[in-house]
Amino acid sequence: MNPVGVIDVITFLATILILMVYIRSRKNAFWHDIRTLILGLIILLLFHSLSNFLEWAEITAALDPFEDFVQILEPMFFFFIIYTYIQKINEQELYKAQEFAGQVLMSTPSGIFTVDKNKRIVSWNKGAADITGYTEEDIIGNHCNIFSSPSCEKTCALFSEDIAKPMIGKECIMKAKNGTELILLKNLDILKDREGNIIGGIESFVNITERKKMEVMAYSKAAELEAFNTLAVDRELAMVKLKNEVNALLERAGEEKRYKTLDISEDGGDDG
Amino acid sequence: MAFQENEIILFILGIGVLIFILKNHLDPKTSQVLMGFPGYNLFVYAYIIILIGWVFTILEGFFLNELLNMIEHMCYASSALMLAYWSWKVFGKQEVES
Repeated sequence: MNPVGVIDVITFLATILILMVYIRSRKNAFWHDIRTLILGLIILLLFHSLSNFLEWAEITAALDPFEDFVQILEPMFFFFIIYTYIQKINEQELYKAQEFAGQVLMSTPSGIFTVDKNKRIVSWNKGAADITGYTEEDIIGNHCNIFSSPSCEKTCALFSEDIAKPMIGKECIMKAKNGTELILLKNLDILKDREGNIIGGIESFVNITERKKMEVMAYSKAAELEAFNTLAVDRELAMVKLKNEVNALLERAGEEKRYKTLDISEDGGDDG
Repeated sequence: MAFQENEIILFILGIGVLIFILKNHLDPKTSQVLMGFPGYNLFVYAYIIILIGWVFTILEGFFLNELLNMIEHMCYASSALMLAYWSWKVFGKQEVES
C-alpha cells in the first residue's frame, strides 16, 4: 500500500470512530436538528474517506465519480451546523426576552392593555384584570368598547389624529365587569412597526375612583368649615359693633365706657 | 494535469463558509454565541484544515503533484482526527446540556 493509502486508512478509521462516538452518545450536547446535520456531515466524511481509501489502496475506484459530488456538500454541512446553532441560540434569547417582558407586564400593578388597529384587545395584564374585573379570557379578541365610556366611543383618543401622542395623565371613565363606573387616570400611545405603520395602541391606567371620592368628600368638608368660619366671624363682628354702640350710648349719657374694644379694621379683633 | 471544476466549486464554497465563520467570529454579539458552541475551536480548526486540503487538491494539478497530494490527504486525516477528538469531547466526555 502506498503512503497516501496508509493516510487514508487513518482518516477512514478516525471517521468510523466519530460515527461510533456519535451513535453511542446519550448526551444532549445539541438540539435534535443540529445532531441530524452532524450525522449528515459524518456520513459525508465517511463516504469521502472510504472512497479515498479504496482508490489509494488500489482496491477499486468505483466510488470516485460520486466522491466529487459528495465532497461539495461538506462545506455546506459545516455552514448549516454553525448557522443553525446561531439561529437556535437567538431564538432562545428572544424567547427569554419575551418571557421576561411578559412577566414584567403581568406583575406591574397598573392596568396595561394593547389593541390592534381594529381596536381589538390583544393583550391584557393582571393589573387590568384586578382593576376592571375582566379576566384575560373575557377580554382578549373583544372590541375595546366592551368597557369604554360614551365619550371614548364618540372620539377614540388613541387613533384620533387631532390628539397628540403620547397622551399622559388623562382622566376617563371605564365600565367595570360588574357594571360600576371606574374613574381612571390613563396614558396611551400608538404602536408602530419598523416601517412606521400603525399596528395598534397601548394604554396603561390606574384606578383613581376612591381618590376621587375622597377628593369630593374633602371639598365638601372644606365648604362646611368655610361656612362655619364665616358664621363665627360674622357673629364676632356683630358683638364688637354692639359693644361699640353700648360704649357710645354710655359716653353720650356721661358715663364711663363699659367695654374695651379694639379697632377691628386695624387689629382684627377685640379682647372685650 | 489541470484542476477540475468541482475542485474550484468546492474551494469557492469552502472560502464562503470560512468568511461566514470569520464574520460571525469578529462580530462581538455572535462571537459570544459561538463561544457557547460545544468544542467550537476544535470544530472550526478541523474545518480550516480540511479547507487547506481542498486548496492543495487544486494546487496539485499545477505542480509537485505527489507531494501536494500527500499533504492534501494528511490534511483530511488531521481534520478527521480533530473531529474524532471533538466528537469524543462533545458527545462522549462532557455532560453538556443545551
